[in-house]
Amino acid sequence: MKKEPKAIIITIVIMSAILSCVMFMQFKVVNQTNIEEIETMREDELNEAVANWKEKYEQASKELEDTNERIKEYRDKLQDNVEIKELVEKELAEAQENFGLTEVIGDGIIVTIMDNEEKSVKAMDLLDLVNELKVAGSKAISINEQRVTNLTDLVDISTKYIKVNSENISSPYVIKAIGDKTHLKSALTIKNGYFDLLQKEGYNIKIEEKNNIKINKYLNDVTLKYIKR
Amino acid sequence: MNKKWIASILGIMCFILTVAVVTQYKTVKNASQIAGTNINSDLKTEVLKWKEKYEDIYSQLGKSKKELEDVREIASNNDSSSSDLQHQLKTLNALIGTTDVQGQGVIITISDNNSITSDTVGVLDNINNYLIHDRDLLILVNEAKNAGAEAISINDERIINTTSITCDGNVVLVNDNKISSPFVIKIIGSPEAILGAINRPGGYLRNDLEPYGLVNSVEKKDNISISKYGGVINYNNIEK
Repeated sequence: MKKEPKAIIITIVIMSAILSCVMFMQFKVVNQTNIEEIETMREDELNEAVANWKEKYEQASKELEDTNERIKEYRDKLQDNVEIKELVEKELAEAQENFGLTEVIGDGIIVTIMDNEEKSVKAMDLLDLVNELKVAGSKAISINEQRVTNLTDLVDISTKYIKVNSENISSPYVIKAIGDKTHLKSALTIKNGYFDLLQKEGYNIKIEEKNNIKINKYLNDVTLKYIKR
Repeated sequence: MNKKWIASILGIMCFILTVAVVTQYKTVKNASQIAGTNINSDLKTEVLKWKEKYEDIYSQLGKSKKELEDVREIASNNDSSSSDLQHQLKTLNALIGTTDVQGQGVIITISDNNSITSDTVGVLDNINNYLIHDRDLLILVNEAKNAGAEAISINDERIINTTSITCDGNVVLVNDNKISSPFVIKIIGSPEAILGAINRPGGYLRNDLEPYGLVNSVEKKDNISISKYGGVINYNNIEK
């Protein structure tokens, strides 16, 4: 008679604890699925989202395959105790291409902007243009043959000069961009888009689609001083 | 005494359990309402399915990349002819944005000025001046690069060569991902050069953002960590 209440309490406490755990787990699952964002989407947006995730999945899955293949190649060389130089060279060549250290050729558009008597093109105008081209999916860009890389900055030096990659350039500004040319062009020429805006400002601007555009490689040194290794 | 104790403990427990059950019932009901009944529910499941598949494979990819780095490191330790190449490769990957990086630099925090609303803003003033825009971020990133920045992120979105910064209603899109105020810009590079450029009188931060109360802090830091780009870099369009 004396033991019973204790046993009951302990049983209840344990059961409650288990129940609470289960519930918390379930809450978490429901929270994680993050349905809110897609809740408000329309059908075409949903279709686009599916296509988007699918493409991302396929890219990642290909990249995973390549990476695993590469790991295997290194392992094999390690086991046979032979030089891995060739493998590193291959990876390095890819990285150089990604960064912009190789010349590339492809279809795209060429934008030409010129100063006029009253107005000269500002670094900010070019910065906006580069950003617009990136939004439209451009894969490689150059301004007056200066390759735009992840280290590239654009600064006004005087009314007539703009500095790109520590090189001074001046009007006419010729911006080459490789990517889907129709898409690139339409992104710039939509109503009240970049083209309209610059024309309204009084600049002379021209956009042409072109095949086999050649874009120069980045010519400056690539070194690290502040990133630790 | 004993019985009262048991009764009250039981009472409290029952109460808590009831609350939990009710809350959960509501949550599940909400969730199924969202996913259920209308025509689009299949599509919604499809979106979630592909998103999950992507997230799953992406985390596998992260592990594989790490493994590749390790095995490459081990392999080049045995092979002096390729250690220099490996060094160059690491440098490029850090600059491209495919690896996590650490180093000294500057952290800038800017945010919308919430003390001004469309009701309290002056007649000749514009509420837009009190909000951070995509262009503000674009300009600061460009200034940081001008000061020799080696790696930059905004709210943990790594700036890579194809990164665009645009606005989408009330949020900013960086790498096609939504971010919003406050914006934390991490920059690795020479702290002196970056502080000099960012803080200069007449510079963008001091001249165009600070007067509107948009600047929270500009701090020099000895050890900043910037994570790698959260996607796959794809350069398929380019011929060689």
